[in-house]
Amino acid sequence: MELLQKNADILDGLMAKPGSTVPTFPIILGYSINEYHKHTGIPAPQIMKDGKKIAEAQIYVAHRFNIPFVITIIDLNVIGEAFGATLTYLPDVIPVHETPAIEDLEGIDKIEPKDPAKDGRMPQVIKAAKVFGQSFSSEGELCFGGCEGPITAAGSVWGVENLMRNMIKNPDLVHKLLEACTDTIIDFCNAQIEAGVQAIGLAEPTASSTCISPQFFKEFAFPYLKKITRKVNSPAFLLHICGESQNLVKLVSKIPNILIFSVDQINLRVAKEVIGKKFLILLGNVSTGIMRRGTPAEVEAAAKECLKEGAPGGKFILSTGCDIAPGTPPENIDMLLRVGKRFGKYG
Amino acid sequence: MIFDEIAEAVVQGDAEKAVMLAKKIVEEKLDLNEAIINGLNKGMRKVGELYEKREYFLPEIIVAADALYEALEIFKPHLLTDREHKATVVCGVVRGDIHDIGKNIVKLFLEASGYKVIDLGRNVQSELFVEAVKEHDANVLALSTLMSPTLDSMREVLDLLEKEGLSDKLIVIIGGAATDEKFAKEIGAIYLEDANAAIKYLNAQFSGGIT
Repeated sequence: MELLQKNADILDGLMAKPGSTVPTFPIILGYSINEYHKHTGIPAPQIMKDGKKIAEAQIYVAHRFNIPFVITIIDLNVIGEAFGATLTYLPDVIPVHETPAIEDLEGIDKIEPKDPAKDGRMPQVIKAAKVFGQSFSSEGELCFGGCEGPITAAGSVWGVENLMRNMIKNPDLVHKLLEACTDTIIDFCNAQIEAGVQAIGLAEPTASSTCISPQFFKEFAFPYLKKITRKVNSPAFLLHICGESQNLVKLVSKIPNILIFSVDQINLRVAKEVIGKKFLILLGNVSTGIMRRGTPAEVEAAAKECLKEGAPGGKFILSTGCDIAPGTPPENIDMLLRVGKRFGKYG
Repeated sequence: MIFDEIAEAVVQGDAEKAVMLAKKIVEEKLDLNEAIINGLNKGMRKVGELYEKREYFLPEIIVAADALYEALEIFKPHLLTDREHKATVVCGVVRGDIHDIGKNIVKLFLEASGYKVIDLGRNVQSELFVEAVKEHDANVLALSTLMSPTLDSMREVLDLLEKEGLSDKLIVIIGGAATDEKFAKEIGAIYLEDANAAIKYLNAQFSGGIT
């Protein structure tokens, strides 16, 4: 909660204080890189490999749309790349995963955690955290560090198919890999906190119920997420799981210090019932497809539906289900923000 | 019945058992086409149903697929002629996108259901799809993308097909997280939610053989 006290408007909205409004902002990661590239002409790979430029891209978009939220983490292959996965750097958008760091069982057996001070792009992400700390957080904006979650990181290191096959065939090795990823994530996130961000966001799409069962979430994701939230010196965490997550709400609500659960394919009303009195904020979940290809009227309808289901009683941030896509029309982003302000009033 | 047993081995993702049963089927000189259709394929169809009901997830599908492929390897040297295929499908992930797990699952389901699949891989240039459709005289083109920006690549493929006069006789199916029914309609394709939906749809189209 101390995280939110700087920004009274956001806090009031989360508490559903009469006269306040539902806090509203879309998830903007890769979109900021594409926009900043278009604005400055700097090739996307140069932005991605320079922490200062990552921060500038985030601040550029935050100012343009008046969004009270920035985050250091843009793509979900930072840990994978640090372990040796190869990425293809595209000229105008974020890089994509090409080959895993390790393919064989022996390689996983010998795996050791990586060093945030020197491996892959981790030092650059830490640099972005430093820029946020120096230039942005004073204004009451939420200024997050971040990292992919352990399952998502492990998928990048070993390849998603290998990871999933071995959840059944060699669970001990999967745990070994998850340990190494988790320890790296912990050191990496602590370094970002030290550099100046206020809190940490974890993105864990590969642990969604679109990919693995809730039972496997409990076995392979839950213990490591718990370890991260215990060992990272952050007052609160945002956990993002795009894809299906309806059956994960209960488990997520049991992970200590998770303050915000960013959800995608879910019934908000049912999720809120499951959460009950616990102070877990739901953030979501206008479809990024509607944001990218819908009309402002369609965005308005979708956002109003989210408000109807998610806003009553507070603990709700109106947002998108995932990172909005590059090329999303600015008028759709404006519309989402406007709906929150105009129709998200607590009486 | 041994075909039911091998189907069940696939459903359980038990590769060792599937291989053991496949060897037995070969030794006993049973009809291998029957073993594939009423054994392996039947098992994979069940896997698809279990995924649809969210009783199975990706790890279970991958392990089932491993069992199916390992058993198929045992059959391969003994299959005298090509099985008769229901239709020929060219598939791939469109230009700019490399997320191919979904495509691989669809491919597997198609193969297991008796389709000949020409897999062009990921990040495929639009022209290559058109060339492959011509070269293999394909009945179906299956395009996939996870990401929204690369939807434009899908549109480009459809435009090229139109230009080449291939649109009329070809069924184009699309899938992947970024796609939906509305977009499919816009570009003149069929949207199918997952591998199981693809099998159902194509089986309905090709139930009477290729016309």
